[in-house]
Amino acid sequence: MTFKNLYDEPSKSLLLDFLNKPSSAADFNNQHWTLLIRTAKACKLLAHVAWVIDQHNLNSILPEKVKNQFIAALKIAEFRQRQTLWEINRLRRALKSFDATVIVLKGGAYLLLKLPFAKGRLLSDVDIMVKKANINNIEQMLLEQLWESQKVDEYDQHYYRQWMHEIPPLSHPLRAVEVDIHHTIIPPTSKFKPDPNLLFTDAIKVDDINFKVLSPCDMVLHSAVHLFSDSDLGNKLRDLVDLDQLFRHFVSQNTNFQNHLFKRARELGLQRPLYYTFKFTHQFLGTPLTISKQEISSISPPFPVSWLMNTLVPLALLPENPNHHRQSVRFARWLLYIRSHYLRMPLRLLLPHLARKSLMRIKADED
Amino acid sequence: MKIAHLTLKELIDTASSSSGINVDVGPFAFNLRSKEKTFLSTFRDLYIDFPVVPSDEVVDFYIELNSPNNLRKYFGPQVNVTLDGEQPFQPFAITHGMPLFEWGLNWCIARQGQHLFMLHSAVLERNGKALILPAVPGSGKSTLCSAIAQRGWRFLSDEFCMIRPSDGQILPIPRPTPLKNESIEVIKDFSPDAFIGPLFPKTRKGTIGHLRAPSDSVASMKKTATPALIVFPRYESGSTINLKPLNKSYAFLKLTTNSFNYHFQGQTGFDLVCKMISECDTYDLVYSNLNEAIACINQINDDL
Amino acid sequence: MSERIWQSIPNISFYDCSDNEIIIYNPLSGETHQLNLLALDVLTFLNQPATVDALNHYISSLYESWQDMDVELQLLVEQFDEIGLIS
Repeated sequence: MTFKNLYDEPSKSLLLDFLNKPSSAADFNNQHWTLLIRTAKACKLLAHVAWVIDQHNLNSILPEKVKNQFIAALKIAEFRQRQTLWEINRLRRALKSFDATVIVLKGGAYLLLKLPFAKGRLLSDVDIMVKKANINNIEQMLLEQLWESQKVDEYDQHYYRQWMHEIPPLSHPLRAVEVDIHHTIIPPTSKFKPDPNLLFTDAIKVDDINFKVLSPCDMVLHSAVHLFSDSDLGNKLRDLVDLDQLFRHFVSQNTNFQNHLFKRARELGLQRPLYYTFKFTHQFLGTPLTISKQEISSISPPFPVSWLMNTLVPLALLPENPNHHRQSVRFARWLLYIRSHYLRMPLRLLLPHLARKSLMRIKADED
Repeated sequence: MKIAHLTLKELIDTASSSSGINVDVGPFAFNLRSKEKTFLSTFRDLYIDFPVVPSDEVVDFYIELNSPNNLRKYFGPQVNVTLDGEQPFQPFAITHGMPLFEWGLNWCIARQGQHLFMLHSAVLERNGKALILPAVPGSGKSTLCSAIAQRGWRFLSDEFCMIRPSDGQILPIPRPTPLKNESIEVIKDFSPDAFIGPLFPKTRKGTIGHLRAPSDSVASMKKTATPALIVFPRYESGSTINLKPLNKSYAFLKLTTNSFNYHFQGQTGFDLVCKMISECDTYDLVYSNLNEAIACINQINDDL
Repeated sequence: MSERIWQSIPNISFYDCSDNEIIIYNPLSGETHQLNLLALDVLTFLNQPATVDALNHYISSLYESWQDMDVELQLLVEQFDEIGLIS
């Protein structure tokens, strides 16, 4: 592969090739490394790439500067992980007398379970979930112990509480880590309504701490619904990587995992996000499927939707070549942005909200 | 090959091309793309001794300095810096490309140098022992460092003391030193032969002129140095020179607050500061006269 | 409150500055703190789980008691709890 070819092939993704086959890095020249690093940085996967290299014992083949960038990326990831675990530590201390279940979600959960791929993840906030009846109680407890609400603007408070049925994020002034308190795994205004009680019933304890995490199936489904129904999919390869890594880990612990997952998705009404998860992790990251193709097809969307998603998702989700930015990508991301908002809230809420968001952006540009 | 081996026209042609020019500054190499001739002329003068890296080598940062394509080009034209695809700074007047470039490069280093432990300090070396001058407002650090470098010490850096965690060695990054306001005249008087680039008035820090690093310092930028002296300088006009040894606990905490990335480094950062405080002599130095300060510092360096 | 059992967290790093001050690093919080000798003795004692009463007894055996000693020790324990050096 010549230098010229690398930069002239916008649809080829070196990063995807590497993630599918890390040993291919043994044949990389400097241009490959440069493109890999730039692409990985653009989709916040540099630390993950560094972790993969380490897992495959490839550190000795790295040029000095590449090695340094990987060390730096892992250092930052380690810092964020320490911040997250410390925030969870402080929350546990503050909530000692809170006698209802607290479930740690997403990255915090991966760290508590010491999932290997968690070492290469960049985190920014702590997400926890309690039953709806306990939300005000827990918010009060934390406010009394000096956590503060992050959204001061009246509209934002209203947006969270009345429209999204959530509370605005909190953070402690000494640490400035955002704490999001949920009572379900997807905005309550969304069309998907997984029964939170089922999630709490299956939640599992971690070591001897007083917080829980979701069961493996629910952890995957949460990540799936978050990516495919609660986000705009734009440049979200790292979320797909999470799903791939969760699959590989849980299947290694239990070969029937994907069958359990299929059943659980039906119980929670989350077959559609699960379909997209199976399809796109397998297509882009080579995630092994132990479940049959027929079963996957049985939960696929109808033709126009499936065709649309098959076209838009690769464009929006995958990283671009840093030297070739395409209009089609921009358009796909915009369409999926609208889709994500539509899925997240009914139309009667969506239009006024989008109008206000545009107005805020225009005002910010003018300032 | 060094920048000196390119004529200005060759530098402009290379920097204006889509592949830009790669320059090595010690622990880092950057790719620079720019069409701004005035900036490139100053850049050539100030970075003249630095090696050019082949275009197919891996670099650490991608820096682009160009005019934004807006209406301002017809009145009050500007220049903008793009750093690894981001634009964290407001555009500057087109005449001020060099300070904008230097601040941009600082931003890249501070953000990405997490494989190293970084202090916000000047560093020099003499007799195999490195002197660290932490930056504190009112310290006159840059002026003092520049003066020391003109009197027989090897110049390692004005802004970044980069320490390699594996062995505690300092990695030089002998970039130009930005002198501010009165310091410019002070250094011109102190060392008439020192090369100072064009002056840039009305920046956030007043008037800035960049002092080119001594050629010898740039030539030996791959040679690491062992920390031996940490001196917190304070310039006080009219004062008598006063060198005071510091309590280790005080010096320890002062050094942690001086670091760019102590918190990111976690255990590594703590262990490195332990090592430095154990192995270095630490002082406060109040001075008003550069020659006296240098004599004092030479003495404690000799005594080690 | 005095019935509660406290214990120092594991893996705290110490640097003895030889000027009656110790610098410590808490690996969980990533924070660095400066302790005097009394505070160091309290932290070291709590390597084994103990109540504040037991701590009071121990400190009295090392140092001459002073007025409000138990109040100060209680405060110290609360501060250590606040910054996560004990739990």
